[in-house]
Amino acid sequence: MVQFNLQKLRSIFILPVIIFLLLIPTTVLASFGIIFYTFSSHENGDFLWFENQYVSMGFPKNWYGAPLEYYNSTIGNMFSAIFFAPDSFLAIGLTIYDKAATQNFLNVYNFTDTRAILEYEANSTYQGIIESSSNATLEMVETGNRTLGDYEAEYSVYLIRNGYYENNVSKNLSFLTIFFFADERLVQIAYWGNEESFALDRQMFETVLSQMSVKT
Amino acid sequence: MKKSAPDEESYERMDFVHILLGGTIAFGITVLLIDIAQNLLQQTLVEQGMAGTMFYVDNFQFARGFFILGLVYLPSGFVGGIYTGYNVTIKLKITLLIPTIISTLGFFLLATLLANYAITLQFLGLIVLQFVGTLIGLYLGGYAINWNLLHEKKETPGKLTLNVSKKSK
Repeated sequence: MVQFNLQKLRSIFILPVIIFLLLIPTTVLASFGIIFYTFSSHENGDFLWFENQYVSMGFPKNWYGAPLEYYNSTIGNMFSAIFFAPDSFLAIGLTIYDKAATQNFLNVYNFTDTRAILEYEANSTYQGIIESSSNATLEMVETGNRTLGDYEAEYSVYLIRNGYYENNVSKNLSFLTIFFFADERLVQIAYWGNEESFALDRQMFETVLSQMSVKT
Repeated sequence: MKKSAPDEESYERMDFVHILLGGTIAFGITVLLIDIAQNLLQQTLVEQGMAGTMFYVDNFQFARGFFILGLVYLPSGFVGGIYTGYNVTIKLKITLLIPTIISTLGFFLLATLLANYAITLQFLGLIVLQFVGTLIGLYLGGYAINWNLLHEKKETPGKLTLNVSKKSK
């Protein structure tokens, strides 16, 4: 025999408690509703699509990402985006300078071409890493030109041996950096991470590159 | 619990201590739960293969706001409200507002002084959300614990017991 005491039940399920209990699932459902709407409205195959005044691009659905826009009336504007793999040390970075920012960047560092920028970038990355990993060594793997959409880009692939430590085991870091000018706008694309993950997801990065379209 | 009718008495010294404690409880639970809730949302998105939605910052801020409102601000306010309403039964409308202000102020100071958050429009939006969520939670908790006292006269005494026998298959 099961006995229900309705009076006791009534004393618990009073109006404020009912409202409270209803509000919790309602807000959580609203939250997931917004997330599902955002996801489905940008989904395109294995990628999520993003478009603004600087770029139109896809990125892996399950990668963390953050966009950044810098507005500065004197040194120009810039758009950056960074994406991280959730389960491995791997990242994609993108920076697009507008005309004023490009000119300012070239003047500040006295760069004349993208080759000089690539060399500077590789060396400054290495100098940054050697501060925390003193036995790191820089090894250039590949440099060259490639076509990205309508533009001719220069790229370099380099390896930093003993770039970081994971559980007291030294690991190598791989970098692929691309620079090009899209109608006087400097564009930097970088792909970097743990050497093994870098090689494993290289094809995915190539797909991101092939789908990317820089707006001028 | 005091059995005097609400809104008829003035505060005693201990009432202020309980109001302060109610606010502290709401604030403490907020601090305790906020990271857990944010990590839970993030982990859920990763497990569902949807972590990329975080890139769409404006939409994601809304989604995260609703999530934290439901799982952090409302419950913390509710518990704070139960504590405050249990100990202070007078002038509930004003009484329950004070712990909300204490909790929001504590959260604001924690975020700006310790976590060094910049005071932006977006940050102020989060503070408003915390205030609203805690306020609703506190009022619901405070009124829930005093419900019988507030509706004493309307209640009909008596107890209805239902005997339901399980059907054997």
